[in-house]
Amino acid sequence: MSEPGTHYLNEGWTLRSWLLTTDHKRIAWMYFATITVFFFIGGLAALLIRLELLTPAGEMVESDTYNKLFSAHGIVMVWFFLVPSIPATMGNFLLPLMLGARDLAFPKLNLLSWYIFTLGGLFTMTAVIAGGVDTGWTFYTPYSTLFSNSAVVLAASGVFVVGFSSILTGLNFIVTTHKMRAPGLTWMRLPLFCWANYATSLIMILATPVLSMALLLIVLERVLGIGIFDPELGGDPLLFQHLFWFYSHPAVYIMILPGMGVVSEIITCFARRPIFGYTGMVISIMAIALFGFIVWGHHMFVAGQSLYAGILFSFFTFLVAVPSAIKTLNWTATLYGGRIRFTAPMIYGLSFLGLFTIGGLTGVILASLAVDIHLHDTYFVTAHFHYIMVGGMVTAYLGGLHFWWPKITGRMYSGPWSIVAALALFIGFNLTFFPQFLLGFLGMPRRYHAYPEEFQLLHVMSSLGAGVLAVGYLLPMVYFGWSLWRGKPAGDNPWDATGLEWQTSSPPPKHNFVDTPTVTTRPYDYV
Amino acid sequence: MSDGATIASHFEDAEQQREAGLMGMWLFLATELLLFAGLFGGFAIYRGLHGDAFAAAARHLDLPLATANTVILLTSGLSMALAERMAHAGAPQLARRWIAVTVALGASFLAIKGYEWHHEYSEGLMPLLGLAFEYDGPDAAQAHLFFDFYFAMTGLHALHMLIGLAALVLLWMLGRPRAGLQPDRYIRQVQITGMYWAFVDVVWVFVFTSLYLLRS
Amino acid sequence: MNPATRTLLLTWAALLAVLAMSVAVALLALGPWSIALNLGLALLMGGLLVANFMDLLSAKPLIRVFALGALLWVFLLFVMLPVDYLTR
Repeated sequence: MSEPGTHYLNEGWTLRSWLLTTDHKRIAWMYFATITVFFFIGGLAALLIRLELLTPAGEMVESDTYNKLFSAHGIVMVWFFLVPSIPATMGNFLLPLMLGARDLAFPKLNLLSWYIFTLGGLFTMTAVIAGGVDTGWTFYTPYSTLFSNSAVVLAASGVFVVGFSSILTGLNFIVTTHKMRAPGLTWMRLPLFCWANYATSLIMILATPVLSMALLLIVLERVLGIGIFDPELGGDPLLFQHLFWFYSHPAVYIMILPGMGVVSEIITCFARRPIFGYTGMVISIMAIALFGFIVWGHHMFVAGQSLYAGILFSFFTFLVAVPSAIKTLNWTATLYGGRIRFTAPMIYGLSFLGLFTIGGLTGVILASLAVDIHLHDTYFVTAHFHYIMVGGMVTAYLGGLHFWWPKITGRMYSGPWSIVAALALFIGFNLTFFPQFLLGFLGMPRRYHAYPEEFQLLHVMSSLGAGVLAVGYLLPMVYFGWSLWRGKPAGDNPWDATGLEWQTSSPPPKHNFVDTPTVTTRPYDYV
Repeated sequence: MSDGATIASHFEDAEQQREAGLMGMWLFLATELLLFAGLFGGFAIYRGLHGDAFAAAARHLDLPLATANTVILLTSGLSMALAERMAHAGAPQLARRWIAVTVALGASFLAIKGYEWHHEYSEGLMPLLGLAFEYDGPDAAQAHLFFDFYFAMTGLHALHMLIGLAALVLLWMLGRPRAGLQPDRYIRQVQITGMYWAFVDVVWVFVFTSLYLLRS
Repeated sequence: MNPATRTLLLTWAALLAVLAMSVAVALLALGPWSIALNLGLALLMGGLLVANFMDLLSAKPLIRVFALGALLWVFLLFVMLPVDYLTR
């Protein structure tokens, strides 16, 4: 097929060989490059927000500009980084490898997803350049439809377009998982990473269209002047929130399930233990995906939703904590008696475990109706979801990148520096967001660019933490870049891990495997 | 050429490829279903909140014309299903003929729909782009809301029809008698397009029922 | 006539019959009964289309599971959404 020494990276060097590729591994790289750009754009907005909040008076930016900053931060980070982060990069790269397949089921569709993603990104970036959008990432009506003078249509269109990219990716993953598994790879032998991406894909195809409709109605209301959410006509602005959260709450699980999959791979490998309670883990993943759809009303406890609906949604929200807790306890039990190696991926994995636990438990606090009346729209909520999305997903994303980098590039990165980066992330993250729990509890509301002086100490701590966190993000860029150029060859299986992806060469050949592998054992067959 | 020629390199056999394509289309239609579900969910809520106003507004629509249109669309569903049957039976040229019938029926549906829209426009029942809304019944504001849904639903459906028609025309051109025609590939394409077309029918049944029939 | 073709023609005839019934129900204006009947008949028509024109009846079990799953999700939306409005 191909000569020895050729792999997917050195097969062609032209720009065309990248832009028109249908190889899932190259498309993963294209996503990786794109979302990294978005991550740093969103990060820049966060940096400006934290600088502004160093002092109580709103000195650096106007409140209008501040609104645009946190909106840009939210929109970019949620839809252009977190949602595609693990599925579109590592999922794209690894799912066929883990399944023993030569590619995803629809390679051209996969390339199309990337182009749609980029197109959506251009829309939203145009919106930012055209003066920004000030509705927050949630586009709540009637503000977004009747009052906001900012570039709502462009930004919402961008998110609408990008939705199709996640739908197509999800569709591709589901069909691939059903139809392309290697001989002997039964469902109960699938690595949890595959299960997690499968569940994520289900959410993507079932929830995203409802968001698309909600955004489409906003765009139609602003462009054509139809008034479906207009209270003067008898329309209900809360209906938008219902439709929005029907997607966006499950989307929270789009933003955490793949991370859980990554962490399951890392923890088993570096504890040298099979996963504790595999079946329980699988059931939990699927249960989270299902329950995720019936808890959306907990975003609307104080928005004017009926009390009885609130009680129902609160109950289901408590319920969703059960599978999450099962997963956390199973990871902990996996560590028990293991021979733990503290490599960089493992430090990220363990950070995830701790940060996700805090994020999850504070979620239970917020799910209580009475407590939420005090805490809603405060920094407590901000801290809670950052613990899940940054502490959970971004940590897992970096952990996965460190874990599979040798497979993806064939090169090793610096061991000591990567440990420094992992620790910087953990310390910087906690310093940034733990004070925000306290701020929220003391009554500091979200989305304000000025605040009373007694909150300054905690805000300064948070801003300093953001600086440390930035080091944790920038450092990997440096040593990853260095490793591409000067890194030691990694070998096919540097971590001595199980899983089909480690059985092929690093970097893998174009069609992944020289011979289609056959699976005879359960996953995580560590002694 | 044998069967093997049309199998993409990442599939093991034709069966795997065919099933993957079908499954992909079903999943895509699941997505489409949820897209419309968002719109219908909103409509259902408002139908409950403003029942009388919506029923009165529904009586302003042209039921006979819409019923005729429904018959046309259901018949186009039949002709498309027959096209699939012919493709499966190894008669791509007969399939093409039924596809042409489907295109004709679909185009007439859109033409009638366009006439209906024009009629509503001239009656002052089109509250779009700042046009005046001249409604003669009570609850004009809620009727405005009804017509917002009317144009959103029928418009979105018509957009799906246009996409379907484009796919059918493409299919008609691809199937012309020529050397490179790959029969099994053509069957797959006809089947997948046929599913989409039938789905657009399903959506119309619910659009028609919600907007035209709930009048009391 | 080929049995598959006959099924299609019968389905089409049934669809037109149900459509006629549905329009009649709407014109009779039975109040809330009309709404319930119209929705039921619409579901029947949708079911006929999906079963025979989209070939769900002859599809593989897995495909049927997918179709049911999609319906379940619509059901989730349609059950949970009115909870708020009915109890407000």
